[in-house]
Amino acid sequence: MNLLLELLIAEIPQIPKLVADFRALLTAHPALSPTDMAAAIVQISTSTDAAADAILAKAAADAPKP
Amino acid sequence: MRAALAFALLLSLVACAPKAVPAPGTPAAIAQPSLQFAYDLQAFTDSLGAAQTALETAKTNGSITPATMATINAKFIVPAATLVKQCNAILRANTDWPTAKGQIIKALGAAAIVNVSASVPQTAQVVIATSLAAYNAIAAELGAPTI
Repeated sequence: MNLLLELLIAEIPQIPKLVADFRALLTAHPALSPTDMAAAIVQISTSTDAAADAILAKAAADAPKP
Repeated sequence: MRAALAFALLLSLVACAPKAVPAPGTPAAIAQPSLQFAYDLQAFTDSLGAAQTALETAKTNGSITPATMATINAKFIVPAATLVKQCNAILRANTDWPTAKGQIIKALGAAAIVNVSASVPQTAQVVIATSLAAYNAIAAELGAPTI
């Protein structure tokens, strides 16, 4: 284990590039179809809209009354 | 050779690390910018909601005044929540990201969102810091002015 750690430490200058390569591998996935993407956007934005509405309602309830 | 061994070790360490559990319905990585922006917007909205709740608690226990709460709501939280809804409408209406992005940048410019940090007590500054950072990250990603 120590040998492996020493090996890893010796390669520290290379680690950022290795991590970047690894992340690139992870993110290189097939793209969603336009239909799937539109459906996902509708789903997410609807939920976000509901959260934003709740925020606005709370702010209105909290607003100073004349 | 040594680099390959180190990379293999790095991979094994990553593979053995505890896995973060993603939120339900949240894919690990999204390449499409429209969808990524939708998730960024969701995270920003969540931070706004959390800030609002924390500010209400702070107001209730006397850490901030009702006037401070009203200022933050009027100048930051309400314009931001309104902007979120505008951006969502833009995302739903446009299938191509360049068009949506242009409209979103305009909406950001038109939104009267103010960085209220300088005019509120430190307690409130800390609470809204995450939301401000999230907004500025979104604006910077789009190439729009930050606040």
